[in-house]
Amino acid sequence: MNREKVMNLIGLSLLAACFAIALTRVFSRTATHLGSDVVTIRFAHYQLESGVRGAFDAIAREYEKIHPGVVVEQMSIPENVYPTWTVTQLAGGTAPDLIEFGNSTGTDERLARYFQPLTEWVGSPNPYNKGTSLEKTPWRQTFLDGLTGWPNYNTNLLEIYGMPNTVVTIRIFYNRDLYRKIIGNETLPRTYQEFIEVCRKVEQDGERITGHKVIPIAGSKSNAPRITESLFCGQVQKLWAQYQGDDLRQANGNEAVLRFAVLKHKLSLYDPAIQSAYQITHDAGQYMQPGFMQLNREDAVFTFTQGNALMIATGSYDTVSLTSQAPFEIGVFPVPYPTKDDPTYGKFVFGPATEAGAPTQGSFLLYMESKHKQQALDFLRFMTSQKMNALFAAKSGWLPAVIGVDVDEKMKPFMPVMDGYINGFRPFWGADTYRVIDNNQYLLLGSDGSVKKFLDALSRDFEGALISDSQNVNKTSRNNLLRQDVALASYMQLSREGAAPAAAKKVSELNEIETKLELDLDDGILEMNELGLPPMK
Amino acid sequence: MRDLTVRLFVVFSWFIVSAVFANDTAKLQDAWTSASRALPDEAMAGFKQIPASSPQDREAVYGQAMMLLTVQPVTRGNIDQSVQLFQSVIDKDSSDDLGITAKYFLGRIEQIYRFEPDYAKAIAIYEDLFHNHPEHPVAQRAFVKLVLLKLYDRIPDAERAKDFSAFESQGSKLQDHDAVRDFHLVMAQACAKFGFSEEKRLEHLLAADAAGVVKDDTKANLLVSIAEVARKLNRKGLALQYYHKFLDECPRDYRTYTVQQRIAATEQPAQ
Amino acid sequence: MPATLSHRKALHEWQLYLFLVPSLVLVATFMYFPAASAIYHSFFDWQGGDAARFTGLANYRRVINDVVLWRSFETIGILIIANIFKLIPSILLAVLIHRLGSEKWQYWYRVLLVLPMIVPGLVRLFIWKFFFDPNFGILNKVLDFTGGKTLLIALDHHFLHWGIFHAGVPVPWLSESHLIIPSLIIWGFPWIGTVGVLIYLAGLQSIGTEVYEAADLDGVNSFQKFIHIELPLIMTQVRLSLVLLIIGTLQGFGLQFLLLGANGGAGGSGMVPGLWMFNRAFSAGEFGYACALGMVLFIFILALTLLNNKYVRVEK
Repeated sequence: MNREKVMNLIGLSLLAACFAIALTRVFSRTATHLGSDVVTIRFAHYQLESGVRGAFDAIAREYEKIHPGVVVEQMSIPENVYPTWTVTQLAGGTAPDLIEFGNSTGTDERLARYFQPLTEWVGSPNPYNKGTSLEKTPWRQTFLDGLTGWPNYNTNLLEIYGMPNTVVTIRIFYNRDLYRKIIGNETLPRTYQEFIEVCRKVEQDGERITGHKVIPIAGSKSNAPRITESLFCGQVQKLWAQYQGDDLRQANGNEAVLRFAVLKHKLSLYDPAIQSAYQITHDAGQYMQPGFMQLNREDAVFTFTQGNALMIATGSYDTVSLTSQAPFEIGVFPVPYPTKDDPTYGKFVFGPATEAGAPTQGSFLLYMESKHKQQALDFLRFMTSQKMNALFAAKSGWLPAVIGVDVDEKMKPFMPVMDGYINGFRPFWGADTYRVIDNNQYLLLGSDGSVKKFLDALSRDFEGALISDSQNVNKTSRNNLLRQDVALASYMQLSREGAAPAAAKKVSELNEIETKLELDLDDGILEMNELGLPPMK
Repeated sequence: MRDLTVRLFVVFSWFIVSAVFANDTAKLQDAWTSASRALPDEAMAGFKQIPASSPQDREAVYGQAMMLLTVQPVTRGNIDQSVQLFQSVIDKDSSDDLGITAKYFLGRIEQIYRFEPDYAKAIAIYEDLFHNHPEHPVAQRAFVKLVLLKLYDRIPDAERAKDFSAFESQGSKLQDHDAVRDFHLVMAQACAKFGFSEEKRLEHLLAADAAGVVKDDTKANLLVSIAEVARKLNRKGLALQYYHKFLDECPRDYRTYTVQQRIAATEQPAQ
Repeated sequence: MPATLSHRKALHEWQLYLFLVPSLVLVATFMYFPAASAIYHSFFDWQGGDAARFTGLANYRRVINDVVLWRSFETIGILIIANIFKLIPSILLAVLIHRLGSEKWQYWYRVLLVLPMIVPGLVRLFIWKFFFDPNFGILNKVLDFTGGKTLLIALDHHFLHWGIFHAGVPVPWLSESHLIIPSLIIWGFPWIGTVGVLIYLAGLQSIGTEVYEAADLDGVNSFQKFIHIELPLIMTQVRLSLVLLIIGTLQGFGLQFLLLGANGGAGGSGMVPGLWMFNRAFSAGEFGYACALGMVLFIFILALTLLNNKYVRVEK
């Protein structure tokens, strides 16, 4: 046999060997689930941080101890392929029993079609909280946010789908050594005025004291809004309350009233409160590095961890990665609000916002076609019990989502501050208004930026974008209504036939959901008709 | 002997036919279960399996009419066909449960399924349904849809106020739990939207609470609404009662702190 | 002209055609099916899942009034023209390598040219994003070092009146509306595409030495050789590059998406038709409309390709 033939044979053998190994792995995995007495619960997520995976692993092992005959398998999928992976698994009918909530799973249609609403179970206490202070508390109320918002509660479908493991709060992280060096002490700013003073001192004296240029705040497209949006929402607190008619009924961000107020010219972008909100955004932006709007989160983190910026605003989920990357000690404080007696910004605020609405996240959804639905639900209860959530927090370094869980001293500053006022509205109300604001932001936040330039440019495109967003909202409401209507018809028949005792209760729920959806839809249609605009695209 | 044979044959046939049609009942239930889980293709296939000779055929036709509104893609042709099938169900018997519900969905088709909604036609269907079957739960829910459509129509304020009063009178006769609850929720919202009296709004909110809402967030909004309106009407006792009820039943709500402040302000003696 | 084969002979070994089946299946599944699905869904109000409502030509009617789309075609027009000029360095480099006397040096230059191809395209984009960084990027450092910044300040002050170049303030290449198109044009400097150079080299190497000898005898200089001999004889390759360039530029949005985000950056200046299609699908959830945009883009590309084929002639 000559050399060429031998080389070809080696190549072919390697290929065949790799193929054989791949086949073996795939089939051996499938084989463990076939004809087995063991119940296997699989849960998939995209949190590849080692602490988090270790935490989930520990919880899985604890569950297996008390449930012999059950094996819990963790599937960690890289974040960038997670959306495609979940969609493929769902469409192919091979999805794991529990799936972490992500962008690809969170659409109304996917939730309604593939995932089991958990609403019927959340009103009862979690049996795994027996012996704790939450023994008699309904499962829903054991979470810090009561599962009242995104991502766990879907406000269109009016059902709870997700069970969370952590809560995310926004904080300003600072370099403690650098802070003490430049400011002279570690007295943290409690108000916006004090915060700006710190930034000014860094700008004026930072380079002189440290020998290199120091930026007060490391900004980026994703980090900057953590501060600027908070400040914006604060400035429109009173305006928002006014548009709610001083009524707390729908203070949770039903922006329809604002959208139509703008379209009817009852509310102008030049309203003093809105101008003030953009002004404070501009002012805060001046203390971030030039051109920060074109930078990514990684660029801002790099600037901060290299000691070139004193502060960075980000979520509590970044604590572990920042502390591991930074060669210095890190401290945190909440985003400071202007006080009522602030001469420039005080007249529009009530005060610091409550974090009671801080979303609990790291949520798992129950796959509708799961072969072991009750077991998977049981595991979900176990995972979100007080004891297991404490284990999760301890091992992952993340905040707990369940109330009454003791946290590490280091994590205490991140816990949501419940006492606070209802925050104002965000500056954008849909994909198109977000786009036009994003496109014009450079006129506000650039070195030559001003509120007037920004608002003059924004006014040109904002109304068109607002019409488009309003039409999309109406369309989404209509589509959700159609879906609920068919479900309602089905449950009506099932309850008449006495086939499903729970069907009658479902009928009542669906009637109530429909009423809410129709009120929103008819309101939206009426407003658009009064403006002489098509209600939907 | 011959008589016995005939009788045995009849009984035996009855058992066979019952078994077959019992099977049809099971198939229907499976089809409805698929439909409830947003699987319209499976549901449609299930409905089509029921033979025309089966006693369940009428319900199967009704099911097909329902599924035509949701099988993909949604087309005008499917909607028209659905209308025809619903009409055939009504033609056989317009006053039983199925006939009334079919008529209700004819109204729904005009209201939300048509690519170009015909609200006038939907209103006419709902009015007719409620007029002819005022005690039937589905007809009462049709009344609630009618109220919504008429109040949110683009009409002069005076006409809307007149409709509102008329609906209050008609609505007092509703008995179905869901219809009562939803009627009062709609009326309360209309009061807020169109500036009808706050007293009326409070009445309707309290009536909705008495009827009992099911969803937690609806309940939270309802409790805080009652408290807020009571506060504005200077009914401090009622306001405090509902503020406390809100705190007890919704301890994790983001409005908790503000509500505590409201309580403190309301409890303060008048200056 | 190849000899024609009778049907009988062609089907004599029909089993051999079965070897085509796997490739055809893959092409049909991954290329034709998505395209057919896009055409189908362009007639629907489709939000990306299972639910779709047939709306006929409504999406296409909306395209006519879509201001953002037509503005994006202006941007893409500028980029196409810039990219046409960006063909020149590759052609020149190919000619220079071709004219090297030593075959060994030609080989080594080709190797040096091919080596950077191992860097994935995405990595190159990220590297360029870093170049554009206002504070740490190499572009601003070069401008400061060479005095180019001073020139830009003077240009801005006297002619442009944009008010974006200031002494002591880093130039924000990707967050200033006026600078986005220049940044997209600068990207990829010195604009030497390896594949293009190799294609032109292959074309140049088909030119016989006797042609050059005849040119030398006629006293033709280097530049005249390029204009009258080399360029005409590689026009087939240039035309192919042009077609691929037009298609690629019209379709492409990866560069803009990575550098500027889904909204097209400051002032929407970087919005191109492909990015607008992406924005409508994934930001606004209007998948049906995005499919209609894709069909419009397809018609544009087809029209430009036909124009290219008709007017960019190759003299044989």
